[in-house]
Amino acid sequence: MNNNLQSIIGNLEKGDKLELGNNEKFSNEILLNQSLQCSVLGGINFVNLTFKNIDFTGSFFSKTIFENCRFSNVIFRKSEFWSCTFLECQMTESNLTRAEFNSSTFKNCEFLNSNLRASNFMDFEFRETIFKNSNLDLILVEDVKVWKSKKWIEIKDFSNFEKLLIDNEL
Amino acid sequence: MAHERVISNHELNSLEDFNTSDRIIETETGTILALQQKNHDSSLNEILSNHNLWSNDTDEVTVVKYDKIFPGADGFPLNNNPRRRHQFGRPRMRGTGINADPLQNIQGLGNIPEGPKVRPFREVNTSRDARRGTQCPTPKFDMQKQHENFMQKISEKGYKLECSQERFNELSTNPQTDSLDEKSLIEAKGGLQGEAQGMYKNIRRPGNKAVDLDFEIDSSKGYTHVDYKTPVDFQDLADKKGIDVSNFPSLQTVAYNMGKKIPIQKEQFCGLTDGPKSPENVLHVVNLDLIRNSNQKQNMMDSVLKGAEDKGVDIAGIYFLNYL
Repeated sequence: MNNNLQSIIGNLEKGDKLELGNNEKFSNEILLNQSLQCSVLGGINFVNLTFKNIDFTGSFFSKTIFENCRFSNVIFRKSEFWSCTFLECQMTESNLTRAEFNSSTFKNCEFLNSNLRASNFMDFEFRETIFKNSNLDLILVEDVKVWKSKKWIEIKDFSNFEKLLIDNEL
Repeated sequence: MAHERVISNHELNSLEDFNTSDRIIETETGTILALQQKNHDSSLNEILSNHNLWSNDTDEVTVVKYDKIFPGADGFPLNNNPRRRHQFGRPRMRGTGINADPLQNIQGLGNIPEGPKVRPFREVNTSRDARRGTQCPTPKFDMQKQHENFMQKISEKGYKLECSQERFNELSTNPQTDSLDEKSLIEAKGGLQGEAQGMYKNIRRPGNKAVDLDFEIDSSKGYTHVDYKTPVDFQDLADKKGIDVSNFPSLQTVAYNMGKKIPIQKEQFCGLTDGPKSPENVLHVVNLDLIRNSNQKQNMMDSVLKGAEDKGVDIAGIYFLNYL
């Protein structure tokens, strides 16, 4: 199935939440200026999407793949991610404060000027991912691994995380 | 839906047909200007088209003014140095303090059609925290109806609660953005029910934004802050919307992980100004209001507590709401 996400959102009635969970695939769209708080998405595949000025506060994402997506000023605050994959994504000026990531992966991703303060990463893998000029204060990590120099390195604490993933030299 | 482009000072000053909006665009120089155009002109369409920002179903265009170079609407250079803001003084607020007479028939020329209303440009805080999400649209709620429905529901549940519309609105306001939103509304409803049930008193949003817990409270049991968890019922979504529930984790798994994280989350904001002094001061409430099945509720409670116990901590600071 290949629908247009924009039209699905456009057809939501006032008070409706975005709730999708039937293995839909959305590709090559630009999504602008939407409040989609408390959305519930499962088994969705987003390919080549641009999200700009989108508010996903308090949303739940499960088995969702974001591939080659661009996020600009997107709010994932207090959102939960379960078994999700971010592949070759760029997140700029985005708010992920208190977001919770479970059993998920970032691969070839870049975070720029984004705020991840007090976010949680549990059973998580980072591959070729970098954080530039981003706020990672108070993040919680448990069972987190980073692929570095052709091997997995387990993250024990935040200082380890900082050393491996944060690029402060902008 | 609105689109953006960057314009020059000269172009901005010639824009008499634009009216300002609540929409705010920020730059690191501290100048925040946003305008909306009622009718498109062909040159604007062309520019938008060149930037892949044009679509036929668009009926509004947001125009951004930047007072330096024009690197592109989403490519403003970052500059966190406050001394570099307003280098030439604060931006002049066009339209402020101007009183215009109401439109009327002048010299027999007939009624003049109402022109676009111009409101002053606005400045906003461009600090790092304030930058997050200010351009995202704010959802609209009928808060009076929300308040009425909530108070009726609390009454039906047999609890007594005094909560004015004003307080309800305050609690439903996201302290990080100072605006009402869906998530904060859900938290407020749970928080007030907890107060009505006597879990604590005087629930309020934290005074210090850095303490990113849901609420401050007064409690005889030593709790100073409370954080709410409101899990979603995937089976309910499956039944109502035909969503494939196999794409979601089981509620037991969600609950178990929740329980596992709660102990470390209790420590997260300890020691900050106006924050909890110790993890024992942080109460976590799991609100099972959205879970339909009472057996499922019981299983989730067991799983939350199991997760916390497996972390080897005291589970005293975990309460449940709507668990029957």
